[in-house]
Amino acid sequence: MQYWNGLQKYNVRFRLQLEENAMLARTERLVVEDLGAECIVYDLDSKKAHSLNSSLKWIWGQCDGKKTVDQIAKGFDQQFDERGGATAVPSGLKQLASANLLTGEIPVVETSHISRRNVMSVAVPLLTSILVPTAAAAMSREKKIKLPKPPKPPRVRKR
Amino acid sequence: MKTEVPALHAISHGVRFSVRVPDTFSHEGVRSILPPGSVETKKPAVDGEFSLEDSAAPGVYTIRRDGRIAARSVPSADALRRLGKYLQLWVAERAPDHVFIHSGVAVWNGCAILCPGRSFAGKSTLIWALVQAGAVYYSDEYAVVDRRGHVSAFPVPIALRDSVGGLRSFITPKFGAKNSETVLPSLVLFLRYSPGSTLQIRSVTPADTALRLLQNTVSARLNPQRAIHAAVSIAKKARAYGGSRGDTDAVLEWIAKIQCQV
Repeated sequence: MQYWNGLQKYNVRFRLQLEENAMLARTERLVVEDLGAECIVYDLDSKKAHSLNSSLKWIWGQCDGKKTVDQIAKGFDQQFDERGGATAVPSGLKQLASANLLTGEIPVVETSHISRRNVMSVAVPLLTSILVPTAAAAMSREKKIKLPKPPKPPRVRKR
Repeated sequence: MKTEVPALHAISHGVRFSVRVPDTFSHEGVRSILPPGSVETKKPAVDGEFSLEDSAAPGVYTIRRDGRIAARSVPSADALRRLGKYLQLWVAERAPDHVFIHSGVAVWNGCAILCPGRSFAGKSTLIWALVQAGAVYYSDEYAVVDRRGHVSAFPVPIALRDSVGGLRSFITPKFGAKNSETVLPSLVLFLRYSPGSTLQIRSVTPADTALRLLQNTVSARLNPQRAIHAAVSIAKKARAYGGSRGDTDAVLEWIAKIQCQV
């Protein structure tokens, strides 16, 4: 019995540790359109649209609430035939978290600087965001032209 | 004493509206500013009521939409054109079966070209250059996209600006497409005019193309699902390039070089 309780405690602690590092992709109030390797995501709350490149889309797809950052990084290396998963995955998760595309508590993920050499070699996860315009903002505008003011008439001093 | 002017009722792209103007303006003048493809109806409007009203100052008008002021102190010379702009935007935002993207459209040598972009990006100049080179004119203001991703014509006169950005002239091209004609876009150009610069072009990925198209979609906030679907359907099929341009001749040369077919 004592052994069983200990095992349960160990399991709970282990699960907690796992969940602390595991991330879950947000699905609610999002419009997602697939574009082959890439995808477009529209956030109905923030009115922002995001474009996820192929590697970031893959990372987002791996956020099932079970896989840890390390596991995703290993999978990334296999998927993209690279060794940069340890750098690229935390960078991608940080971008996803800042765009509010992950749910729950987001653990502080240490990210290291991606060098120019890495940018060339690693499938760098990239997120581009825009604030979707209102109808009036999408309308043609005309520049207001400031016309020169007419010269003032000379002052006549009264004596 | 002012005479009562009957309202003009019309429907365009599935949106019903009515327009009322003072007796100083003719119905013919109002008809000329209705969105392309408008059909006059006898039934009163249900979606929106637009009016041009005299204001306190002489020669100046107020534009109202459903009783609310949309624009005030509009000079009489510009009043109808400005009213037309508001009508177009109203239709563009509410059209039930189409998505309106702020973009120039022309078909040149079998290549359907979309030039989306905000004001002052140089869309009209590029579209006018294409038309002068023999392209079929579709639109200078909106690319009207249907559910399949096909673009239909919205042939408003091309508005060219002067060097300081004020409106200079309106040109109606001779070879324009009819409202019912549709085309599948094959080339999307996100080019920004930069005076004196050379042509600098790079390809844009489908996701970024969809994102940029969405940035110029009128109903993107009102109906995001439909807007995204339209943007994605174009991005999937068309090649897209972005960058900056100087003279339009260089762009035309470049388009002629790349093999682009409808």
